[in-house]
Amino acid sequence: MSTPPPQAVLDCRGVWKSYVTHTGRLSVLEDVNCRVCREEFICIVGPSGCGKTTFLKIVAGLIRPTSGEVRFCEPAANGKRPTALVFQDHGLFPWLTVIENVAFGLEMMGVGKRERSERARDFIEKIGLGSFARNYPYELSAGMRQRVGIARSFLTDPKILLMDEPLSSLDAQTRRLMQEELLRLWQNDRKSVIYITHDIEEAVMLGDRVIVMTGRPATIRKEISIPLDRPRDLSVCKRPDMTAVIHHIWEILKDEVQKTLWFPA
Amino acid sequence: MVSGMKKEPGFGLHIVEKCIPAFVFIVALLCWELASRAGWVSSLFFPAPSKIFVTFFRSITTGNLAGHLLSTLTRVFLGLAVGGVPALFLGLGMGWSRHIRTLIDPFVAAIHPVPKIAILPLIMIFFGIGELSQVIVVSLGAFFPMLISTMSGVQQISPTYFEVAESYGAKPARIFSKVVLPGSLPMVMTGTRLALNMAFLIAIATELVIAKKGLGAMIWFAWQTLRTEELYVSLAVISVLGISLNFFLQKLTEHLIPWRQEREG
Repeated sequence: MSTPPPQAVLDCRGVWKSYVTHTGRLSVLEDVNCRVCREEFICIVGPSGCGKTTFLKIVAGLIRPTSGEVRFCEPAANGKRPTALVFQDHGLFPWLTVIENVAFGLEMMGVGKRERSERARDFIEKIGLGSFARNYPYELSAGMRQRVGIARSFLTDPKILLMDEPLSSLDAQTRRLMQEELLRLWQNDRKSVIYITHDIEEAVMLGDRVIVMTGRPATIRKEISIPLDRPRDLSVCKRPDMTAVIHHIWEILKDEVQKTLWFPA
Repeated sequence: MVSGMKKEPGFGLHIVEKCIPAFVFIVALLCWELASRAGWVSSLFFPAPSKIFVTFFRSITTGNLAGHLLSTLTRVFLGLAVGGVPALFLGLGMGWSRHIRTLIDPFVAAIHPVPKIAILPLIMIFFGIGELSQVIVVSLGAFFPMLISTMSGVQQISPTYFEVAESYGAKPARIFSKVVLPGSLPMVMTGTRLALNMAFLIAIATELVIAKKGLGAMIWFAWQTLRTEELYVSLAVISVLGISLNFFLQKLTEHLIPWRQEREG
């Protein structure tokens, strides 16, 4: 752990975040240290409201940390941040059509209209939403909207994909299909991913590494490697060694959740 | 959910429902005609609808009505442009920037509740009894509804959309054109409608007092000479005009904001 491995893409050191409120200082993140390697899929689980989203937004550059450093080992060529954020409630602009939403990231990067439309169209064709290119988000189902949200983030070709509980608002069946699709997309186009979820099975199925965070103020309680081969599918959670891992994570997480609920441990 | 799948429930019933008000209206007119001709009501107060129609067609053929109509519409649209356009820009600024809001809010709070028509005498002292004073009062009336609607339109845009734009590296100018403008458009259109109706109301009110031409002036002359038919003609023209302006604006809104239609499904 003394020197970062050469393939690291993100190095967070001593990230603290606190807010000044009318009752005093509210500490949200305390000393978060985390390194993400190239093509590594990291899942973060933790009690709800603990500060996972704050951490993700700090990495995305939307929130400035109170102290600490977020360093990208290979900055993007155009000086833009090498991240793309997928929002919990899809974050599609209701006033843009599917294709315009998907092309939004490219538009902000300064890609010309013709090229970005073409690339956006190719991508939506690939995920099977071609016939909805000219529809507005209100005309899509919740699952389709989030697929469009994911397409938008993939299309800017970020080094690091930041996903904030992207599937949590979907029903269980849709979520399963979306998990598989996400794995498929990622296996074709491997990026580093930081994926926040409250679903431990999802974390184990998707991640190379699962980070368990404590309740507020959040810090990293434990990191667990998931030594499974890729490509994976949903069945991995049924393997005995994996159910043991899931149980182990739940034991740690339960402890943290109980603290936030003020249950006697 | 998918466009093109909307079904039309009970089409025949729909037609009948729409015809009932028209039927009631015609019956009421017939009763009025009968009562007026039979002398059950004073034909000075309630001249027969047929007489009113004759007066209406005569005022069209003499060009009298068109002249009044044109004066009123000129005042309304001039006032709407002079008052509404600055209000639009100021409202966008106030909605977006807390600094501008704190700076301007006290003045808005102080001037907004004053009925604008009450300022007319003061304005006339400054600018004389004429067209200019009228347009100034009309534009003041249009200014505030536009300002307040636009401001709250920007304020109610979900913070997520700002974060999405920022996370893809959008600079303030882009955030303005891609988030602030389209996001506030529904409320801007509401503001336009409120401003238009207010401009119309105040234009008529000022015409009652000082104008030689305009629908308000037409009403006033009719009252002074006790030509009740003409009074009814001008009232009918005013209400038809109000209805058509609102209808036109409604269609324009639907055209400009296709992403917001049938949201309630």
